[in-house]
Amino acid sequence: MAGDAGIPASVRLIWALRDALRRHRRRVLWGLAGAVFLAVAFRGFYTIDNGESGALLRFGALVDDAVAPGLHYRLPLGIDEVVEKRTGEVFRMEIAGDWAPRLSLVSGDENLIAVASVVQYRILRLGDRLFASDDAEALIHQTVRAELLEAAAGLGVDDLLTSAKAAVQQRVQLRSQERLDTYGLGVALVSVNLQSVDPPPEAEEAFRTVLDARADAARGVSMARTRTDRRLRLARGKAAQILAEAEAAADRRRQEARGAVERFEDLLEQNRRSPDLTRTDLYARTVQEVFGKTRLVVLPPGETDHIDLNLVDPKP
Amino acid sequence: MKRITRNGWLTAALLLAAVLAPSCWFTIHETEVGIVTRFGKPRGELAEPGLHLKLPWPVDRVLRLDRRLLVFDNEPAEMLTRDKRNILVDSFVVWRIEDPLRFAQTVRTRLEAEARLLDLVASGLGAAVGQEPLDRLINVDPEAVRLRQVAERTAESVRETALPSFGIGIVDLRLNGFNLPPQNRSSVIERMRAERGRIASAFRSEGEEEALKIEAEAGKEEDRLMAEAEARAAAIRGEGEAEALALLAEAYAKDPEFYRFLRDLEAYEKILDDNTTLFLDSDAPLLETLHGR
Repeated sequence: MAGDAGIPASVRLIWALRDALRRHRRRVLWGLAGAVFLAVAFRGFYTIDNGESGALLRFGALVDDAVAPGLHYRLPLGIDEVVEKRTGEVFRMEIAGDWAPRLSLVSGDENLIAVASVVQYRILRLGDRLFASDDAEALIHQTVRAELLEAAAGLGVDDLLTSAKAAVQQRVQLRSQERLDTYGLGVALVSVNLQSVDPPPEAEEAFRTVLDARADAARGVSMARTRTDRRLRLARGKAAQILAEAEAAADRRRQEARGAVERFEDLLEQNRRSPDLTRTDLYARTVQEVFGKTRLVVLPPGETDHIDLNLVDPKP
Repeated sequence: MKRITRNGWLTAALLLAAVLAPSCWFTIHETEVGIVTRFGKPRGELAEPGLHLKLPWPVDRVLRLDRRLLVFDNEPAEMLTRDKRNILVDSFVVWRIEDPLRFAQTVRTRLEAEARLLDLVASGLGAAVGQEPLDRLINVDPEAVRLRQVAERTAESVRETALPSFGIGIVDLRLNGFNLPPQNRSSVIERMRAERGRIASAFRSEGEEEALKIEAEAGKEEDRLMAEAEARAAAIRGEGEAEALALLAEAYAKDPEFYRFLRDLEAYEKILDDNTTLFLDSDAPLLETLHGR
C-alpha cells in the first residue's frame, strides 16, 4: 500500500468506485433497469385541466371519450394517446361568403342581400366531435350556410330585412341541428344569430327612402289623429254646453211657471175674499197703464161705426 | 471455424427477426379503416381501430383509408333553369368511403375521389336545376321553394354512380350558394331600386288616405255628437215647457173665469202700446164716472 502514496486522492476515489462496481455488478444493473422503468412509467401521468375533457385512444382505438378534469394515467410508449379539448367552452363561428365576410343571398322576390351571421355551438360528445368527420367546423359552417340560403329563398326581402329575423334564426338553428345530428357530429348549436341583413350598397339609398316614406306616412296619420282628437274634444265640450243651456232654459221656464202660479194664487185668494174690489182694482190699474200710453179718441155714441181712419195720424 | 459459422447464422437470424418483428403488428387509428393485403391481394375482413397482427413484410401489407365524414366544397357554377334564367349555384358534398376495397381499387386517394365527385355533381346538379323554373327555386312562399328537392335529386343521381363505381357513399349533398350571375347584378339592382320607389310612394299615399279617413270619421262623429246634443236639448226644453204648462193649468183650473179676466188684462197691456189710437164710445162703461152718471 505504500506504493500508492504518490497517487492523488481523486484517482484513488475513482479506483474505489470501480472496485465497488465490479463487486456489485448485478445489483447495479438491476438498479439501472429499475430506474429506466420507473422513469418511463412515470411519464404516463397526465392532467386534464378544468373546462377540458380528454379522449383516450389505445392502439389508435377510442376507449374513453369523456376523461374528466384531474390527474390520470395512460400507458406510455405510444400505446395510449390522449386528445384534449375545451368542452366547457361555447365556440363561435362566423358564417362567411366565398370571397367576402358576409354571405350573399337571393331573397324569394329576387332581391340581393348580404347577411352577416354568427353561430355558437358546444361539444356534446367529444369522440364524435373529434373523429366523426375530418373537418367538423367546415361541416357546421356549410350546413348553416345551406339553411340560411334556403330560408332567404323562401322569404320576401322586406320580411328578411325586418320582421322575419327572429323566425329565420330559429328555423336555421333547428334545421341545422337536425342535419348535424344525422351526421353524428356530437355538437349542439347554442344559437344562430343574424347580425346584419343589408341590401347591396348601391340600393341602400332606395331602401332608406322606403323607411322614410313609412315614417312620413305614420307621422301624417298620427298628426291627423291629434287634430281629430282635438276637434272631437271641442265638439264634446260644445255638446255639453248645449245641454247645459237647455237645462237652464227648462229650469227658468219652470221657475217662471211657478212664479206665475204663485201670483195667480195670491190674486185668486184676494179675489175670493173681496171679488168686486179686486176686479175693479185690477181693471182700473190696467186701464190706467194702457190708456197712459195710447192716444184716446172719445166719440159720441153711435159714431164708432163711421170713423174716417184717414184723419187719424198715427204719430203725433 | 464451424463454431464461428453457427454463431454467424444465429446472429443473422436474430437481426432479421428484430427487423421483421415490428411489421408483425399494426395499429389502426380511430379515424381509419385498414385493408390487409397478402402479396397485394386483399384478404379477410377490414381492420377496425386498434391493434392487429399480420405476417411480416413483404407478405402482408396494410392500406389505411379515412373512415370519417369528408366535406367537399364545390365551386359555384353557372346553370340554366327551366325558364332559361341564368343562375350561379354552389354546393357541397358530405361523403365517406363506404366500400374501402372498391375505393382502393379505383380512386385510392381523396384528391382523385373529389375530382370524380366534381364531375358527377356538376352534371347531376345541372340536370336537376334545369328541371325547375326559377320561381320553384326562390319564392316568397316557402312551401313553393324546391331547393331541397333539387339537392336531393342531385344526391340521388351522384349516389347511383359514386357507390358502385368508386365505393364513395354520398351522405348528403346541399346547396350552399345561390346567386344571380355578376353580369346581371347592375340590372337586378336597378330593378330593386325601381321597386323600392314604388313601395315608398305606395306607403306615402296609403298614409295620406289613412289620414283623410281619420279626418272624415272624426267629422262624422262630430256631426253625430252635435245632432245628439241638440236633440237632447230640445227634449229637455220641451220637458220644462210641459211641466210649466202643467203647473199653470193645475192652478188656473181652480177658477177659469178669473183666469180669463187676468189674461185679458195682461193681453191689453201687451197689445195696446204708444202706437195705438183707441176710439172709445162716450157711452163706454169706462167713462161712466166721467159722465157723472
